[in-house]
Amino acid sequence: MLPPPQALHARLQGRAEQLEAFIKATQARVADDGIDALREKINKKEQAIATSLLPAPPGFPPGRPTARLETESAQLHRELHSLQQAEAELPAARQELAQVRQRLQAAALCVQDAKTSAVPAPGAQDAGPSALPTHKPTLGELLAQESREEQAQIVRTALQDGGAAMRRLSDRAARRHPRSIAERLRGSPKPMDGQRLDAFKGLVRADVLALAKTGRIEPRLAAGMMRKAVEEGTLGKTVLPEDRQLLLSVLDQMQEEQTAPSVARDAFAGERLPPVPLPQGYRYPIAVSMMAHRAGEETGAVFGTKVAYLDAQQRQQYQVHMHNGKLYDAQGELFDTEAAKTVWGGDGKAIFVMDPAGNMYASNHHVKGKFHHSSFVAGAPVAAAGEFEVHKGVVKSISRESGHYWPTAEQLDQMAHHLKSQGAADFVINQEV
Amino acid sequence: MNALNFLRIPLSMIEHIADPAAFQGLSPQQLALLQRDYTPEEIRGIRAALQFAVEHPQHDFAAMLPGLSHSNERIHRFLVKVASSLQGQPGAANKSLRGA
Repeated sequence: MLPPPQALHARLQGRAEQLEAFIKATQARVADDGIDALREKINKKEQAIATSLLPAPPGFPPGRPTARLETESAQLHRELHSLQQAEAELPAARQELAQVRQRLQAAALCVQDAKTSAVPAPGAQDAGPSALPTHKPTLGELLAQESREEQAQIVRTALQDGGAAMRRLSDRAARRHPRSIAERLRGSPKPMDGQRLDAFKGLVRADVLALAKTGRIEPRLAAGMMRKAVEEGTLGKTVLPEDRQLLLSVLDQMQEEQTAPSVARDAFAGERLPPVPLPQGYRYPIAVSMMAHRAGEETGAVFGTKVAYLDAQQRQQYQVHMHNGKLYDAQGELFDTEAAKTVWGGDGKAIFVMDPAGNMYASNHHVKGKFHHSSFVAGAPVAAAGEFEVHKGVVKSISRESGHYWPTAEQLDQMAHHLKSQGAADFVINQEV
Repeated sequence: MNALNFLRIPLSMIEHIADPAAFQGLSPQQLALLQRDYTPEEIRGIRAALQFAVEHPQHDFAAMLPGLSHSNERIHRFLVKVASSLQGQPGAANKSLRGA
């Protein structure tokens, strides 16, 4: 049996090889088959099915049997699904491979170290009782320490002087235990409730978002990171115990808000148009209907002006695609939002929606009363809607800003997952609305 | 069609303004974009709806567009600023609006 460092090294080596093989094979499949090529084949097959249902004109041979065409089409659908799944798993596999490689390096050092320590150093046996045994950190401890330091560094960078919430709490602590006449004159801090509590929550939220931006992580993870920093004493050493407890409960609340099931989080379910049942097999089944108060907008009944509702052909002009981690418009040009500008805002940001099949549509053109999120899909339910900032095809940030759909946090996660599964990375996910 | 529907167009704008209390009206650039994005007839509709808003501060503007996070009073002040920038703006933008 191998001793632990060697066993760990061997296990990591095996995993790295597995991941490398998977990545290589999937990349080859995507390059050979190509999702777009498969889609095209399916379209042709479906057209053939539609044609075969029509009677052949006199003098022409009958079309191919529909059943056979349907079997072929189903086979293509399965191939497409399998390829999409494999492609979706690629970013996670790459990330895991990077982590495994890091751990491999550390494990290699441990293996080397173990070999060295297995051979007694000259004179080691004579070291006597004065040579006290020293604790050697395990690989897990080393990695945990590294992670803690990295997180502490993000907290220090994002939250200058501890951040706005912590400054507020430190100020309260100073008033409770004044060390100067000026502090004494300000009196004891008032109870943290009502508007005071709401304002404090706003400060915590701003700090969490700053952390999310600096660490390039989702806000719920940032809330968890801030909580950990408070528990470990990186933050909040000087605050009052009850305020520290309050801060932890606010952070818990924020994490819960971000991770609760979508049904519970869709506080506006009752204000939407009736849900439309989706057929089985859609890639992103968490879809929301448009807000009911916007119904009839295409007739001028809402804004006075008529909101454009695109048909299937028109919406193709707005379809955007990810390729090698970059976003392209329908003409094959790198998508860019720098020129986006309207009377009512939207500077540097485009509006987007994603339908339940994962098709994305976007436009720099957002004219109130004329062209909205609902325009792309003619008011149909969407799997995601919001605004994003894209520079030369590189997605910089996404949000769920949409007055037409009021999307849930889970839907923004769907969009983020979709983008990441196609190679986009390092973009900010702004859950604020 | 209810002529007041046009009011929802400027009403939608308030959520894009960082500080509605500090808003001083549409900039010349915004006025130019207004002409780019809306027909003269539509601009006339917006102006008429804004005129109604100016004259009826007690109207429930907040109810016209659910989700607005401002008081009715603040929304009214905002609409008055938009209306005055549309009417009082000298130059090409205003001429075009008058001619619309």
